[in-house]
Amino acid sequence: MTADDRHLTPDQVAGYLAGSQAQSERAEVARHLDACAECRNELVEVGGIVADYQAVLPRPVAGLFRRRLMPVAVVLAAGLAAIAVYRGRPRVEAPVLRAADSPGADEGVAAIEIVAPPDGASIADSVVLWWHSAGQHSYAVFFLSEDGRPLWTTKTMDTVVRLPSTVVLLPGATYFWRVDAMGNGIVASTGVRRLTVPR
Amino acid sequence: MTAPFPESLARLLVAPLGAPQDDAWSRFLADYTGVLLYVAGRLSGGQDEVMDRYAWMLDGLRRDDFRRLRAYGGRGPGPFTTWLIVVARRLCLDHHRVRYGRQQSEGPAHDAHRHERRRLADLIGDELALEAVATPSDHAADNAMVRGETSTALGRALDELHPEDRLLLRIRFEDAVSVPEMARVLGLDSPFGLYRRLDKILKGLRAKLEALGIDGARP
Repeated sequence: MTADDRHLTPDQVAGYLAGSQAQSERAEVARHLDACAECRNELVEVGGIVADYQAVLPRPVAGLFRRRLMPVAVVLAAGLAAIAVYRGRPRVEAPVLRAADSPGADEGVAAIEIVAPPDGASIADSVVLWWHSAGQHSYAVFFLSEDGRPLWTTKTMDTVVRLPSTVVLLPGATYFWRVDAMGNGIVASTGVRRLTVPR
Repeated sequence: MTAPFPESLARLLVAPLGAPQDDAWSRFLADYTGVLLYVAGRLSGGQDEVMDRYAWMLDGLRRDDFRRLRAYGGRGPGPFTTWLIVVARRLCLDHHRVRYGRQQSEGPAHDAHRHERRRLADLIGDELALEAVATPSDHAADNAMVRGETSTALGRALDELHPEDRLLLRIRFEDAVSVPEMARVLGLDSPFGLYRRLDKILKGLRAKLEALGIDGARP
């Protein structure tokens, strides 16, 4: 089954769950699963993760939000832009709620609306992450380096956090951030967003 | 049917060493950090542990020039995200093994659960109301013998099933996964089709047992 002929490969597990294998291969995988409790456990757990992950994928922004709350978000973002110091050309950008180009095919469309900073913003200092979310949640905030290493994480009930000064931002570097609303697991997310620091 | 090859993965795998590869890695992470964090968060532990696991995953994915990611190679028939979840979960288990010495799924509670399990044939036997096979008698030895013969016959009947049908029975009865959960895991819209399929399989088993003269195998 694998290189050591003991367990299923990730290809086989994913293919079985997707139901996209040829009949003969599917039967072969089923025979292995029938005999191997470890692989069966993996199949059930991965299937559960896939189902849950798909369920919490951010949903499309509701029409009501687009029509009525988007202008408010724009105003708020403009205010925040005045707080944050953007170097170079003034970057008072509207908080483009990048629904269509949310990072990754797997991320879908943002359910937690980002007020600021806009995705891809260039920020010199005073990084303030600000989002809007209907409902009362606790939030897990992740701030990651360009290679994905966690630099700072926090949990908050607020919808605004300021990056602590202990996190040193390097000129020219790119950073990722993400906010997850926590309920029974992740109930909504901003998806992964990017910001850069000018040189 | 082959799932589309993710663009950010393709760019990463062909990127020259150095800055282009670092940039491609960043783009790949922009696409998949969400799912990686999600998998890291599925195991128990606080936020620090989740981030430890996540960092371990990144190391594991980067190691040996992205050896694990190169194994995808476009051959996988399933969606890349599902494939990545399998790989990420395995990395999480590696992390747990290195840190705590054994897999999270192991331990006293797990062992106790395993001991509680009975052989599939016995469980299916219960489902088939095989108690009825034994004639009303006070002779426990006779009952045990009849039950043993029935179990053997049932084992043979199970061997003759289609592998996927047998797998469904094993997940349902040996692993004790509920039908709604099975339907969810297998991506079915509703559990009702699964109930019907299980019922059909069990009916087939009953018919085979009856053909062997085990007439009492009827609920």
